[in-house]
Amino acid sequence: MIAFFTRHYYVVSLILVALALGLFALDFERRRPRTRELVLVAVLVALAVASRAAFFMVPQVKPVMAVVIVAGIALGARNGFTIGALTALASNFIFGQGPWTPWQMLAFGLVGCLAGALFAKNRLPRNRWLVAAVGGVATFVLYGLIVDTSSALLFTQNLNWQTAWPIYVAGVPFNAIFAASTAVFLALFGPMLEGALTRVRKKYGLR
Amino acid sequence: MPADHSGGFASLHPAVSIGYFVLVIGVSVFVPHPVLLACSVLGALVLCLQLRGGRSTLRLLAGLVPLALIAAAINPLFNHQGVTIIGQIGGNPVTREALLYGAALACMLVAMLLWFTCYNVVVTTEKFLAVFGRIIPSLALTVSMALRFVPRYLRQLKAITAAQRGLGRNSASVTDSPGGDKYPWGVCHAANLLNRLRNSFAVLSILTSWALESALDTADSMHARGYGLPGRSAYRPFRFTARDAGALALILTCAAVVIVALTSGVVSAQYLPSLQLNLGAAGLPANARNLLIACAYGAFGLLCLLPVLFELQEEVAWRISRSTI
Repeated sequence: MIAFFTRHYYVVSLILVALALGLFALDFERRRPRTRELVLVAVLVALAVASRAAFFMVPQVKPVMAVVIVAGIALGARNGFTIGALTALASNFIFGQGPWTPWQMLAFGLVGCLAGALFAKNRLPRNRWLVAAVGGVATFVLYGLIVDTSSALLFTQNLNWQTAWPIYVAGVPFNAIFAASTAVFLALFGPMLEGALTRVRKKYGLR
Repeated sequence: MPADHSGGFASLHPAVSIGYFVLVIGVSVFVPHPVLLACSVLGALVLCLQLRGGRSTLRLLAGLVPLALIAAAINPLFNHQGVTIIGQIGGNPVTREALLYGAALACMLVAMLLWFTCYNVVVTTEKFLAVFGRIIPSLALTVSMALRFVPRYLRQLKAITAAQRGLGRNSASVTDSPGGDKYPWGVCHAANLLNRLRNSFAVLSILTSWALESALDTADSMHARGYGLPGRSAYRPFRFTARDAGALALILTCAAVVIVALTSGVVSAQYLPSLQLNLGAAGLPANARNLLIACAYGAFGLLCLLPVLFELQEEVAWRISRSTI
């Protein structure tokens, strides 16, 4: 049995990712979110997906992660994960589902969650440059690591350093562009988006 | 080829088709067995041809083949296990087993991506949401609302930009030059880059506020109509028919045979250090083993070709009904 689990890295890791996403889904359903909460999440997911769709002609240069990060900061870690994961799922309805979908859901969700954990409730000052820097680094490290691990697993099945390093190295430029564009979008539009969110929440008396 | 594919395999209940894809893709990525992989690639390729047509499939293959070659090359280049050395690259031995294993992994990748291509045609967004709407209703509703908002926002973005332009505020997202054909972009706007950036700020801010406020109105409206109250039923666009039950029974039978063969190790594949197929359960008599192996190959072959058969049956039925007009 143990031999089985150590041989099938890809399947086992996919099962673990699916389990994590399943637990999150269970948590979301258990909370019985109120209609307004649900719709607020849907709006942010839609804005993120629309921002990915609007930049479809430039590879990797996409504001989608910036939207997810701002959503996490404004609405907290839990909602940040929800919005990130659903953004990956929903945008793949437009761009095509594939073996990458669960990994992207996890990666986007974790970055949104991290942003919420760091900045929500003013744990860290919401300084434009600090948010941009943290967002860029989180995208590069967390998103890049998860997505590249998924392609390394897909290409080589049994992950070991000898066969996997070329894939990680090949992923670096893509992740760097994505992270840099996320940081730029955060620096440019982050405070505006957050301001709009805060204003609407105050106006409608949302928590 | 019709863009909206609804006959044949795609007309089965979405739960059956989603389960089918999970099963076939699962077995394909799970066991690098040459016979099973061949069945899987063949089934997926023919289905892809049926669902998307020759031209689109060729274009897909043009992208897939280089990817498969890379995947096939990575393993023998960096993995030096295996007993048969067939050459040397950069002072490192290249073995036949690592080469074969790389080829099997490449087939796995191709099979998986081909199946996903078929999945994207068969399991449309509404089918996915119909199935998951029963398991995770809130999340499915959120996703379907989000997907409905996207085109709405892109349209609203155009309206806001037009209105802002009417006020003399030009934003970067406007692609046509307000100077008409007289002034090209560079002359008219190079000095105004900062201004345009500021204007596109305004446009996005307006869009965000509008999106949030109109959505909260939607939420209040849903709430007023009793969304989430107990005892409310939902419209079910898909019905589980006798045909679905038959297909499901066939799929489950085939799957059971394959899974028994795989878990007992009667059908297995080991590449490193030496190539060994179907080695497990050595205690079984040879006849029984061979029978189980043949059954497992047959069952998986049938499983992989099932959608193809459904499509063929649809095609034949259509031809017959047309010829009798």
